Amino acid sequence: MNSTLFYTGTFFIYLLVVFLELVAIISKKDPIHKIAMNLLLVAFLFQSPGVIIRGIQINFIPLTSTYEAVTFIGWIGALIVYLFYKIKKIDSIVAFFSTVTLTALYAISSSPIASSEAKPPIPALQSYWLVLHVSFAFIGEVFFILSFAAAIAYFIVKSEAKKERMDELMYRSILIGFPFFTLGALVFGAIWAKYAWGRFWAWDPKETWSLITWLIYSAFLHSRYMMKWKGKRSAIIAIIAFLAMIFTFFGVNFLLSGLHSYG
Amino acid sequence: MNKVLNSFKSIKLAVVLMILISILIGIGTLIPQHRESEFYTQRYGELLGKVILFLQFDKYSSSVLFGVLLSLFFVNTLVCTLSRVLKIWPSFFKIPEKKENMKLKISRDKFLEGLKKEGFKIKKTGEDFVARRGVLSRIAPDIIHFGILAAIVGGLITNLTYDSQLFTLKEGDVARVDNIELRLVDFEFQLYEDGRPKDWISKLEIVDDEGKITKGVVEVNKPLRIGSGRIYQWSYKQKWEVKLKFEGLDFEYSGPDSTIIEHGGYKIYLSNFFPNLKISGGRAYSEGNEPLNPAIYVEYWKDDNLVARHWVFEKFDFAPSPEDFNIICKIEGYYPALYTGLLYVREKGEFAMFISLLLIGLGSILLTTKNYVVVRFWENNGELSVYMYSHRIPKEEILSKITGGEKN
Repeated sequence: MNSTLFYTGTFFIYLLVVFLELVAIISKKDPIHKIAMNLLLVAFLFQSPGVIIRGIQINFIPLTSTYEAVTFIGWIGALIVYLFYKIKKIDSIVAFFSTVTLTALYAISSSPIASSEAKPPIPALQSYWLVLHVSFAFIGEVFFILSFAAAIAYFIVKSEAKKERMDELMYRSILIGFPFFTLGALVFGAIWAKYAWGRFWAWDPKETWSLITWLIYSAFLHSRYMMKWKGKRSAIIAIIAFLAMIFTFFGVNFLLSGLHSYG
Repeated sequence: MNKVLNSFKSIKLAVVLMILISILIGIGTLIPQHRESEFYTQRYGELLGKVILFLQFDKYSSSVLFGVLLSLFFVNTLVCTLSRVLKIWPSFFKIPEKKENMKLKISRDKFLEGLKKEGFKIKKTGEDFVARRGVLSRIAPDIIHFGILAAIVGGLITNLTYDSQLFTLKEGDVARVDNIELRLVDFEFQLYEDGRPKDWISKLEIVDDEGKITKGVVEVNKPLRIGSGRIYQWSYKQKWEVKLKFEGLDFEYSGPDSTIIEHGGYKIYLSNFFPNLKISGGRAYSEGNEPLNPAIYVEYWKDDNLVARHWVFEKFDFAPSPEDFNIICKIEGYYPALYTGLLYVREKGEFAMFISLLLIGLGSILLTTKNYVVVRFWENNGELSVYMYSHRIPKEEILSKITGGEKN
């Protein structure tokens, strides 16, 4: 059975979710938002067999190519956004911007830059440190996507109470995403690099940009705790940090060369 | 001295340093590193090229500017962390002051039960109770900060002590590191069915300085500890060993291709060996490794002058140029030889780096644990007088969880 069938099907569910969230924002109807969020859970469940089949095909955790990376973010992102909806009651604006970002990332899996061919990983990528490195970093990044969506929503909503809620959501998602990103991008990444290349840190562009992303999110937390920055200023930092994260994810791969040029 | 220390205690300084470091290293990634100085002036123009060289953006990770910023960041983090530790950590062992900041109409036992349910550790001090939770979450940032300090120290030690050697060995070859002899017993190049590389495995015989022989295996992602360093499977190379007969020189050569031989007053240049020679657009290449059209290109030089050139084929004769040249080369044999690339790395910052990663990882995990709250309460005329301090969580929120929503 071909795993791409599940991935393609999931993509169409994401498109439907985005459309429904847009309708929910325009019509201000909460039931549509609820349907969209439940569809997001369906997307996660629908993609799951695809992830398992692909894992069997390549005889490894499917996290070793651009295609697998962007679809993994979509998969785990669908679950996290759904859980955030259930626990934190995120509204349709945050849900819309989160799912648009996830869908845009997912769309890259159908572009020529991400071959969908299931190939087992090259020797350097056959490491469980790599699996921990990539999966933890991606989970952190999904929370950063949520914080970005909340930051954008902060500038859209008008009432002070809603702004306060967006600010809190932005902070909470960074607070959860930051430890995941630290563990994945920096700690596990450095350990893998040590075992693969003999150095914890080589100032490779991807490493450097991960550090920049980490420093900006650190600045967000420090400015909030110690300088009591909230609201607009925090939202601006969250957006800048997100842009740095996206550049780390894609820009570095395609604009700068280095050790991470394979994925 | 106190003024200097206070200026380093500033969180604003920390944020500014984080931004400056980010900008510096971000620019650094956009500029090709470690090139000749002419490269920068040619690519970016005279003025910008000179600015790049002056600010050492051509080697940003070892530049003076980066060193200064990192040193300031180190001192800033150290001072902030120590002052935080000295201020906060002793409070974990102290009983909070008896100053009521809320009154609750709830029974003592019910309040105690709620505290236990929320994970508080409770102590009785005289008539009062002190309950605490989330100490680990409160010290998590300090653990991360200590990890960052250890990473900077470890990185510095690594940079000062890093030593590496790259060996290219074929089966039977011997290399020496740290008075230890390494002999390559076998090199395995495993392929997937579609021909892509699956693994490279080097099997070694290791003879230490006392003559004791042990065996070891090095694989990608699985380095081998030897002496005070580690050996990494770094690369591989396939070369050809050729046997050539030079008629007219009365000479036979056996050895690797792509080399220079000196014999009979000639310098003989051998090209790569082509197992299946093809020519396209004036470029010679081998289509695969199957020996379908084996060939090698030979040049004869004397006193820095090219005397003759010759494309030598195994399966047919092809005349040299000039045709009347009196030496004729013939291919007598060939076989592929796989070379393994092994990297030996020795550095002294490894321990500090592992500790730093452990601390940063541990601190990150602890950040996700429950927020710090300390409560002191006592009975007062049928009510509970409570002092509560909560960190990064509203008092109302935690109180509602403890009392199960019962209001005072």
